[in-house]
Amino acid sequence: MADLTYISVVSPSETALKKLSGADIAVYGCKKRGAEFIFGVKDKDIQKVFAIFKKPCYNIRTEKKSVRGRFLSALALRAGAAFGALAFAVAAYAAGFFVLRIEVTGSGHYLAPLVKEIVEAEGAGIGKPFSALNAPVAAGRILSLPGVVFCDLKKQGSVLVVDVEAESGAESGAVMGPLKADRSGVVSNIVAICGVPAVAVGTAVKKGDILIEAKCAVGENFMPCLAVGYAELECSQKAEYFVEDDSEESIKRAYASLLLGDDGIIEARHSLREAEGGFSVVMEIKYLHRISINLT
Amino acid sequence: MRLLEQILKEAGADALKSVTFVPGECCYLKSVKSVNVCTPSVISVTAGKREIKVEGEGLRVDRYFEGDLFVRGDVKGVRVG
Repeated sequence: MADLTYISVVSPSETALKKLSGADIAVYGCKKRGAEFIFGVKDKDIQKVFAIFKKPCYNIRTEKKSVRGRFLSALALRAGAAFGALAFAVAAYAAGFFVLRIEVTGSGHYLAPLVKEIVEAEGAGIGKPFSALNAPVAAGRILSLPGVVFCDLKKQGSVLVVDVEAESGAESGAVMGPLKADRSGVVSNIVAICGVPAVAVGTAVKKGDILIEAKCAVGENFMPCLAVGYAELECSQKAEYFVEDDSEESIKRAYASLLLGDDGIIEARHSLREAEGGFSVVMEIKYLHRISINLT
Repeated sequence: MRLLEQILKEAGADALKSVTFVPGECCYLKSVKSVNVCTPSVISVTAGKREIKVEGEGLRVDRYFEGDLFVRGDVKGVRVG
């Protein structure tokens, strides 16, 4: 049955029906209740009905409004609530287009501060639209982090979920903490892939001094993170080595005894001093020593 | 009309419960208790214990008095249910 408004008029049903029928108004569910004749009409015919029975003797009134009519009346009486509900719906819909939280999941969650820094640097900060995020570049940068084997960025409501998977044991293998100098020297080069450099090139450092701090800037604050990077120190060393003769071979043996490994000698000077049974090679060298943290 | 009533009486039918209609013209129903639906395409009434539907186009109630209902319009059929 169509959505009808029921109207009652004080009139014989014959008179009412004849009038309504003559005006081509469709009526439904007609019934008599004492002197009243009750019938249902569609909303579009209500004004016509009231015009037909405009004389006060008919005592016409609306018995029951249609569902649509009742809804509109209720809405008109609660305009503030309706507007609030609409504003809420619009705000909830619009919020879905903006990043309100960044979540890092997966086995690489220990890299969360770094991942968040990368994601924010690539456009998707808190309160910024999802469309501003350069996802491929962000994923590439996250994949270049140590131990990361998989990265996926997806939007869930207003949350940007970054799923980072790291190699098993990567977390336990990672060195948490800053990069410290393992000997005295002068910093000739410092590269901090993650973390904050604590010294500048040319700074003299002692053994134990922090070179790269395990923290990163997130907005205006610093958050703890994994320090990744390396530093090169220009170090000086003096050593003595006993040789039996002053041949070139003996000098080479003397330098080899320094066990510099991969460190490259920048400057080397040596002098020979006579000693009992041979010579003492006094070496003064400058070499470049490289130390790194969480780099393969 | 008397001939019609006589025929109905001899057939054992009750003339007061009869429906007379002229296709495309009009329809006359007796002993109508109430009108249920009245639209230009369907007029449904309760007569006795039955519901009778008059179907057509441009239907309108021309006269309705003391249980007698006269419908004008392009009457296409009458359904008794």
